[in-house]
Amino acid sequence: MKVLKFHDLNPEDRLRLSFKGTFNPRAPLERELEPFLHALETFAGDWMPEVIRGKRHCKYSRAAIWKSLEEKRDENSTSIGLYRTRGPALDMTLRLKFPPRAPELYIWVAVQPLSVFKGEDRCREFVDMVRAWASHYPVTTYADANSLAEDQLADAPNYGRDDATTMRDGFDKIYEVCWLNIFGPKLVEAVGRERMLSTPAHRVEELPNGSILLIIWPTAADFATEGARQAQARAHVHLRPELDFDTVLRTLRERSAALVPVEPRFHPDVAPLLSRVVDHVAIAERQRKVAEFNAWQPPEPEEWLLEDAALPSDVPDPKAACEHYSLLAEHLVALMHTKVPSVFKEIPESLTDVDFQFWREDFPRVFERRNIDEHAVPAVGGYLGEVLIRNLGGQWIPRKKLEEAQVRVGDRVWLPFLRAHRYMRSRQSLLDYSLTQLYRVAERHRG
Amino acid sequence: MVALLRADAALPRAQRLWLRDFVDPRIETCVGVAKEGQPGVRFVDVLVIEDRPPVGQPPRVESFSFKSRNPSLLDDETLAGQMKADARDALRYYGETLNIRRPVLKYLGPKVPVRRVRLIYEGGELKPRDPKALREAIIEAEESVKGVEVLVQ
Repeated sequence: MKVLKFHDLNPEDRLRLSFKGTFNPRAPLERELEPFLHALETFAGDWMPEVIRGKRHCKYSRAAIWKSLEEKRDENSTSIGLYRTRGPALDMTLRLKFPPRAPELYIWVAVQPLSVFKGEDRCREFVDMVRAWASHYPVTTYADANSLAEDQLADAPNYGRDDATTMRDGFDKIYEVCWLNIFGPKLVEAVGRERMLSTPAHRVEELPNGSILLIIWPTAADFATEGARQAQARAHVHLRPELDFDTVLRTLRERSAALVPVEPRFHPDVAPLLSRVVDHVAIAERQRKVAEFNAWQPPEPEEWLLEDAALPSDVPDPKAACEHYSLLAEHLVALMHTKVPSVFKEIPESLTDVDFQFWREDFPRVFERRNIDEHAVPAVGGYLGEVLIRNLGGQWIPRKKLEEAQVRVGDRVWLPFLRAHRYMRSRQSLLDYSLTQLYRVAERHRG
Repeated sequence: MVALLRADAALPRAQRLWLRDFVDPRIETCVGVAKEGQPGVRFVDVLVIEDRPPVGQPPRVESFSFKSRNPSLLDDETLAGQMKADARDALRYYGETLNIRRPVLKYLGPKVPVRRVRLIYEGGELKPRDPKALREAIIEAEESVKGVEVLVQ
């Protein structure tokens, strides 16, 4: 049973619901959870869970759920995961807290891609499901469903506060308005029940325990459109009259602008590397990063000489020197192979994988500078040289000084250890002086 | 991370982020500790000890555990479970009352109360993912394992 993870998909926005409600811990669990399961099975549709995971994965069924909750039970809580094997991808958690802790039912639902929630019907069903849950498991604080990109741009759940304050205060004020909101009795009281019920929005409804359900806009996937932003600003300012409407709307429009898709037009030599970097940044930052890379070019590599200007070999035993370089290359394989299996292949794509792995780990900053310069740099230089030799028919010209060692390819000689030194200065220099680029330029000049 | 703590210790007390409860914090790394009822010796990443305790009082001791995890590959339920398990371990091995094995720290006595246990997740991978999910996982870990503070660096 292979679970589909977000990691398996292209990076895209997703919808997440965070729901905390109370339940009766003295009632038999199967009866108490029946409304949860009934609403899920009625309304989930396309994203309905297929797999339950307690201690192990099993196919979705009521029996699997009870068994898994029992397996995972400790003194005062239990939790299970719910997933799918095919798109859309689902990451769902059901967690229960029992006395002596305050009884709580926590549901986390994350569905990707966000475009699953483009249609009004699909969104209405989602809202009806959450409404059903909130009717049976009263929300005491706050529940919400929102796009991940939007939450990242809004700095949720901190909203500008430090971690300690956020942990202490939680959502004690209406810092933001999400696509779907359930305001618990305390927040309702703070705003005023009448005021909250008269919020301009797509749907406003009082729930049995006095909490209020508020849906800003009919469709979750359209949250960044002008119409949805106007609605969001109107609702937010209605609930927080001290805020300025124009300021709020401007902020929301800026967020939407940051999310407008930008067509990638990266420098071809480094496009494979930059694409991976872009895929790795937070979804809210993606378009900004694409724009940044569209406007950027790496400098032309300078770590080469014309063949007739090459430094001749000055080592007493060239064969031993070449073996040494080969050994250094092996050191890189040893360093990277668990995280970058392609490093064994010594092909151009391996260089991109190595570039990206160093970037992703922020290697030049995280590791001790002396170790980097004494061990990583020579290993990288040796490996780069070996890849040039293996794939472009290159040849070592050894030198006593490692940084002067050259690889002849066509009518140029390249200096891999010098390149490796520049490459390892900082996270940015991994991109400025990438192994990926050097290889492509060397390949082009092979003639 | 150790470097950050040392830098914090060097700041005036009021400006410190981590070590504000110490007058004169001393940082010891990789300290072997044992606990009554637990077999063997474990090594805590950092112990911070008060070098200038109030007269007549034992020196304040706090422990720090560091973990690097790559949560971008973990689903929400696994992340929360792992944080809870890490927090339990931090309390069990490096919290409550410890017998500190380092000779230079023997003066603290055979049963040293650890006043604060911190579990710190390092590594840039943790941050950009889903801050709401991360917050809930931390809340659950701290509520389940009282006495451990979970932080993300």
